[in-house]
Amino acid sequence: MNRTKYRARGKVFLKALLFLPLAFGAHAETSPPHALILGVGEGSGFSRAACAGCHGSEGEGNAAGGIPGLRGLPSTYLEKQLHAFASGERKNPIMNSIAQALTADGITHAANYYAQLPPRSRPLGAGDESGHELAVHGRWSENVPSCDDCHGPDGKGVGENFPALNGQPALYLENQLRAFQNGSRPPGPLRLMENISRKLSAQDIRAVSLYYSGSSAVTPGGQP
Amino acid sequence: MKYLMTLALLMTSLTTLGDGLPDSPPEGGASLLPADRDIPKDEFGKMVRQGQLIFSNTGQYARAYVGNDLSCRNCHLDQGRKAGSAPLWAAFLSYPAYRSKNHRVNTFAERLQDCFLYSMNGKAPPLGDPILVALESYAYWMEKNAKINPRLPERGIPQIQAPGTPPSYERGKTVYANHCALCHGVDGQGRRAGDGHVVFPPLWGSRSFNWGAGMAHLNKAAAYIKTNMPLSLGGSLSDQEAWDVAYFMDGHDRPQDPRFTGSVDETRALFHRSRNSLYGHLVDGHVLGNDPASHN
Ligand code: HEC
Ligand code: HEC
Ligand code: HEC
Ligand code: HEC
Repeated sequence: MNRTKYRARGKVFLKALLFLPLAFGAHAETSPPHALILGVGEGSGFSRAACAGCHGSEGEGNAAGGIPGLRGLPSTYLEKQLHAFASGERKNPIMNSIAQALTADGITHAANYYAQLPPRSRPLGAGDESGHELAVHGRWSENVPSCDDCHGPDGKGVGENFPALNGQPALYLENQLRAFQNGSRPPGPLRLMENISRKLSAQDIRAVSLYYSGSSAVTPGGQP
Repeated sequence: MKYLMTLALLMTSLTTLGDGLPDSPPEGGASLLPADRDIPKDEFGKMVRQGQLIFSNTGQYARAYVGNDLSCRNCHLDQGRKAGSAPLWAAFLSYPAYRSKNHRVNTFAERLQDCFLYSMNGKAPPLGDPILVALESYAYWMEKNAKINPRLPERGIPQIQAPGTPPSYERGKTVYANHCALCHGVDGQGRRAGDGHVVFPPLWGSRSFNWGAGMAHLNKAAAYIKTNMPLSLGGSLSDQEAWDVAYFMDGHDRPQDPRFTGSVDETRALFHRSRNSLYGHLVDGHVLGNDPASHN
């Protein structure tokens, strides 16, 4: 299980590194006009282009790289994550350095910008039955409610504290569930996700992540 | 390990209630309940499925009889399966039964009617109505296909010890802010998803259960909360915290008791003499049951 984890994270890391020069190159060129369009204050450190290289030009994420979509996620949630990356509490080498380069204002602007983009969702239901079971029924024998109980119908998110899972890359979701398990990501409000993730097996994690990604289960070799 | 949920395992909350650890594994010998996919694909199965839909989305599938934003499953967790939240299948086995609430022997269908009237702040579907038939079918199917451990008293909600110190609104407010507001909102009105679906149900106010509901009684609310809330962390509050937060929740106004006689004092004297009801009491500057907004 540990080996899978490091392989998964390693892959994200490599892919992301490939994007880095691209992202920052784009930043340097297009920063002023974007700053104007977005009303981002001078020197706030946020320009959409700096993020687009990895998170997509419309914040849609990158499935193959395991990079999450950001569009439509709640601003409070995004802001908290960026602060956690900046302080190193949420560990990810790429996002740690990117978030540290943002000012507090930059973090707020980034969060508000992505939060106001309308979310996109995918039809779910492909994949194996155990992922669907966990997502819509949970496993109450171990006090695990359905994921939809907190993340909303079809995992589309609820309010400011419960991010959407719908359409996020399976690889990203898997990495997060493992990060909650091993503490490389803060436990979140009321330690809810730490507690829940620790009741999930590697098989559960794979199945439920695939379910919410909206991609089909039959991609042999497609997922690590 | 393959995770195949052919059978939903039930938590034996009674035995795990005391230790206060949310992580404790279910004690051995829990009853085994059938999964949705075991519902037969025949005419009876259709009725069972309809019952499950009503149970899970009551406002949508039984609209004429619902007067708030709740669904049965909001209180009876895991679609009526979970022990510790008055599971539907265990209730099915327990009627006809005498109820002190109305001083007579009630059938199961009559008990269902009561939850519509009070918990759902609505109207009772008439006996024989397809809505009641569907709910009865769902309960019967669940019970009939369960492998029930006869020694487990899974019916109802496990009792909670009397509070060490009389429950306090102020302390309850703090418990609420720290353990409940995240989901049910600072104002207790819950939260909806973008499509309008109620995800976190309201705990008080005009869209919640009314003054006649079991949950409006401190002992029942405290026991329910202790065993089931915060969601996924049942058993994590101390008994005192559960009583305090129940007092805070039930110390807010909510829809009028359908048995209201026109006078709060009289209604209190007739139906709310119990120490466990705050109806007609002065709490946080309001006489409860008197709020014009709750007379609907
Ligand atoms: C070099 C690629 C890269 C760039 C550029 C990048 N990110 Fe990320 N971002 C990632 C990866 C990879 C993750 C997943 C981290 C993890 O697994 O914890 C991530 C995660 C996030 C998250 C967490 C999302 C969630 O659902 O919890 C936020 C918020 C975020 N990035 C914001 C930004 C912002 C804002 C920018 C631009 C200032 C940016 N990122 C630029 C790669 C990148
Ligand atoms: C009791 C409520 C609750 C339940 C049930 C729940 N979650 Fe969560 N989940 C949360 C909260 C709160 C967060 C935000 C954590 C944070 O702020 O860091 C979250 C975050 C997540 C994230 C991180 C999302 C991102 O964009 O990085 C994933 C992945 C996740 N949950 C998966 C699941 C899965 C899978 C299930 C079902 C097995 C589940 N959750 C059930 C409350 C819940
Ligand atoms: C606000 C929470 C709430 C809602 C909503 C609710 N109930 Fe209940 N229900 C309770 C409580 C609390 C009890 C236990 C009362 C008691 O112990 O006297 C109960 C008891 C019952 C019982 C009897 C249980 C037994 O073992 O005797 C049945 C049957 C029942 N409910 C069915 C339903 C149905 C059907 C619906 C939807 C139409 C519903 N309930 C909605 C809270 C609720
Ligand atoms: C992580 C989110 C979460 C937290 C925190 C939480 N609840 Fe709930 N609560 C829920 C959900 C979701 C339901 C409905 C369950 C369902 O439909 O499956 C619910 C149902 C209830 C109900 C029955 C339905 C109703 O509206 O009356 C009560 C009472 C309740 N909660 C009280 C509390 C109290 C008191 C606390 C704090 C001690 C609390 N909850 C903390 C998510 C939460």
